[in-house]
Amino acid sequence: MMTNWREELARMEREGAKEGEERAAASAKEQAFDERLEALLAAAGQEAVLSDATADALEELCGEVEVPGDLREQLRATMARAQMEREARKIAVPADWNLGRYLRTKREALGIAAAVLAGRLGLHAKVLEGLEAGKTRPDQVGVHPLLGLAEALGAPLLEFVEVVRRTAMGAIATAASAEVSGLPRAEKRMRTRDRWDLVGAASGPLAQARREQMRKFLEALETEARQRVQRQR
Amino acid sequence: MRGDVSTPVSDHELAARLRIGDLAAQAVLLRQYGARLFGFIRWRLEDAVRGGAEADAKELLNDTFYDVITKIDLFDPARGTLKAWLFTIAKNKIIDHLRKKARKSEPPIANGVELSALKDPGTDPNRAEEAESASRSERIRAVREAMVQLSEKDRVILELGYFVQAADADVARRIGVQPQSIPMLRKRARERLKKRLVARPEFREWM
Repeated sequence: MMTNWREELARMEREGAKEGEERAAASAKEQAFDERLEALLAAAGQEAVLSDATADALEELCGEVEVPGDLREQLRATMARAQMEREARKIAVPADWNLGRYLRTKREALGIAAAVLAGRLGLHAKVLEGLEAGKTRPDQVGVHPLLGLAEALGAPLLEFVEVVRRTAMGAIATAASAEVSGLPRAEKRMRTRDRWDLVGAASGPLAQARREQMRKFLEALETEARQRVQRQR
Repeated sequence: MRGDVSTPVSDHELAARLRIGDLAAQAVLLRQYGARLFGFIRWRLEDAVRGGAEADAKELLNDTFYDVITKIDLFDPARGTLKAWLFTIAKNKIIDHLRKKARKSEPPIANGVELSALKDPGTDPNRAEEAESASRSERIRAVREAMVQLSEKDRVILELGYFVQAADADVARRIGVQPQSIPMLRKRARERLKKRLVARPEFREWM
């Protein structure tokens, strides 16, 4: 009887210890789950869309801070650039086409001679030939004649602007890379020739002025193209 | 809307206009949300980095508007309002920015949750294992789905705490309780979220 009592006590102790271990293991699992969930929530923040209620809460908590005038201007320019880039993604022009190839392909598809097309637009034939050959920069032609040319060729205006921009950026990158490689790119060449590929020469006051001139031209071209597209809509 | 940016425009119309590339809609977006988003970004940066946040706030606002225009096609009205989407983009920009700052220097203590919790999985050995798991993104998706089913109050508490890292005092002010009770309320909200998650197959191996 005494043995049974002792065995029973030992059995109860063993069971008690086992239950304790199980409880501790369950508790540790719970804690581990909570910690992993907490980490997951912190990680999910980057991918989660806030609820409307949270957006309302933030609006109330943070209040409004007036956007300064210079920042406002910057934001307008940023949005315009972003819009261009968004539309550029939809453009079906091969990436390696420059402005000259784009114009020539469009014109030839319509079966119009360069001289005839130039005459219709009141341009000198050499201007159009120069654009197609990459010898004339578009800023030498001007915003309105250039967009008139694009319209005469039936080119979507924003696509056209993107091709001009792409060509200019490509030229700048090529010139900068040539300069970095130590290839000669003297300013005197820029004074005597007005080729596209000299637009982006990386140094010298003339090169900088020309880059700035091209940047302003691209902005003006884009603004006018957008306004024409808006009017068409 | 053309030419007139002073009339209030509904979010629905604004999103539709932005989608078709309406320039006047961009001006309306700036007028209706510029100050609110700037307020949010400045508030969050000032809380996190204490000073020197003005230039960063301007840059982040600029980046936010850039993303809004380039990603407007991804905005899905079925998933929430335009306002929530805009604040989400700004919030993501802030998190990226603070993460980069945390990498460069000693991680500053943010409100609610330490910035170390925002470290990239690749730089945090404890989370590297997690990142390698194929089901991590599935779990995050499950968390998002489960959060939608929570009460609005629980969702706001969790989102402000974990996604925005708002200070407990701010969360308390918003929901009208004492700041000391926020950790407990957050824990309860997390428990309710957990109850919804444990039943899901994505979390079976955590049990």
